[in-house]
Amino acid sequence: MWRPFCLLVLLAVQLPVHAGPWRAGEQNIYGWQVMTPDERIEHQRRLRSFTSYDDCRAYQQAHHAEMAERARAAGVVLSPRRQSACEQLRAQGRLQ
Amino acid sequence: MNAVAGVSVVSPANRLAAPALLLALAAGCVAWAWPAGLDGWRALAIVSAWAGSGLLAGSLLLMVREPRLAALFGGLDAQYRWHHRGGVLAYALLLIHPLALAGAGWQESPAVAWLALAPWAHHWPVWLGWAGLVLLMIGLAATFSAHLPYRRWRALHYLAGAGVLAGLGHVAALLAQLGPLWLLLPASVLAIAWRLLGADLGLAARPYRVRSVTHPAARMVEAVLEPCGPRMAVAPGQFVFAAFGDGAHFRGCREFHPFTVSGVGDDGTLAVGIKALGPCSTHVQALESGVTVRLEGPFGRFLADRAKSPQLWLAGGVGITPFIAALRAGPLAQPTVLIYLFRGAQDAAYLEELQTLAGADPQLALLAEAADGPPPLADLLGRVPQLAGRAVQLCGPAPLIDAARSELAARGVPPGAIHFELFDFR
Ligand SMILES: Cc1cc2nc3c(=O)[nH]c(=O)nc-3n(C[C@H](O)[C@H](O)[C@H](O)COP(=O)(O)OP(=O)(O)OC[C@H]3O[C@@H](n4cnc5c(N)ncnc54)[C@H](O)[C@@H]3O)c2cc1C
Repeated sequence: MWRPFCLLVLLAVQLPVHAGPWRAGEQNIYGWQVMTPDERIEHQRRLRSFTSYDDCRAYQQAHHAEMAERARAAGVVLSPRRQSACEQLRAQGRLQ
Repeated sequence: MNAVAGVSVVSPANRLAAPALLLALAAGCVAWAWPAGLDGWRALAIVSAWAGSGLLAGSLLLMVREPRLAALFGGLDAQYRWHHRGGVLAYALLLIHPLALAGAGWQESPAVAWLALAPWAHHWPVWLGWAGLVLLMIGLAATFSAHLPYRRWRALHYLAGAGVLAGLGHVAALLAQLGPLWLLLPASVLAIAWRLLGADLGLAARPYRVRSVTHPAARMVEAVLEPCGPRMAVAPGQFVFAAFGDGAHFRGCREFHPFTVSGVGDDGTLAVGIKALGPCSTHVQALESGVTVRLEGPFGRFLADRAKSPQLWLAGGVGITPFIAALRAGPLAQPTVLIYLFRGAQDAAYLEELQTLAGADPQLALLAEAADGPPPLADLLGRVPQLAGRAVQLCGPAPLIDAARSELAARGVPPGAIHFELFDFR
């Protein structure tokens, strides 16, 4: 009777070793300051949904261009990001 | 007679099974999604969302009405209690989720915080989340209203199930990967399907037929049910869910309602005594022999622990049914006092039969009283010899049980010796 619960607990302990979703943040999203909360959520969703590195890069470059344009219009200086989401996702094995 | 068939013992492991399931699911989800390297508010938003999602899925699993599961979780009433607690806690955690996201936005500016909360500033994956929260709120609010008619309550409560699916859809859409949803989504869909099809529509129920019908009191019917297929092993004190179908002149309401068996026959027959307390139980008063019945169960373990010590049984009204079942099953093993309270002579179901049984069994003392108002508990309990040494079994309306419990406590009966069955859990 206890076996299912023990299995569940074991599963819970095993999972965090490698899993867990990639998360968007100020440090890995270019243009974070000039995005609305909804855009940040949608951007994270789009990035997570890619399976190919090239698609991810293409989307990221389009995003960069748009954010640079917004920053120029708002007179904000965007600093380059330390980490790239597509690189991180590739390192996690989520992108081919 | 079938004295203890089907009744399992509630061990500490059974009592812990439901909270352990909730905890394991919540902890498993949080561990998977642990927001390493994120700041306080966003981390809180993520932890609360995943803990809430795990609890919600667990709470749905605890809604499945199935005899073996109910026994595993220490009884259907305990299982439903954890279903309710899990759901309420999950809702509170899921409310924290958008508020914590707004908190994260507040660190940038109040405008960003406001945008994080405003549904119109978002698109469909986020709307799914808000829809889930609103549906959960309506479904849960219904459970706190004791006066809502049963059918309206049930319809509203189903909205909470739709809310869970909307919430999990929100997670799946935003996550763009499944993660723990591999477990939560199928488990939730299975639990809802099992509950709707297996329990509420009765696909898992056993067919019986009404063999005979009597009227042991005003506005009360007793039906003897014979199995049309495999019989159920039911012990006195247990209850079944019964849905009455059609007969020659009778059209049943086809809904499953819980009834304690009032008799267990050697030939597999079961008796149920049904008092007219609402629309369906009033309709059943016109029952006739030959009507088809579907039964689910058995559930409960009331009266299962009575072999060890002298007994005090207290029945209010139709709460007499588990006791008459136990007395019909054969002579008592322990000295037993049965206090039976009813409103008036016309409501005193089984009274003659009880008097005959008490005359034939020296172990049984019967104290039957009509009381149309506050029950004379002080007087009646004062007449029970060695009260503090008895195991007490109560069955009746909630106000009577509450009054009896406090009177018994005042007379030195330890709470652990008092067992009761309520006829109105949902
Ligand atoms: C464990 C248990 C044992 C019971 N044993 C008996 C018995 O032996 N004899 C008897 O006459 N009555 C018994 N009842 C009460 C009986 O189930 C209700 O009177 C009946 O379901 C009322 O249905 P209704 O449509 O006539 O009235 P409604 O007005 O719909 O219901 C009246 C009240 O009954 C309860 N109820 C209704 N349907 C359900 C359901 N499906 N599940 C749980 N509670 C429900 C609700 O608290 C509701 O408020 C028992 C109830 C429980 C929980």
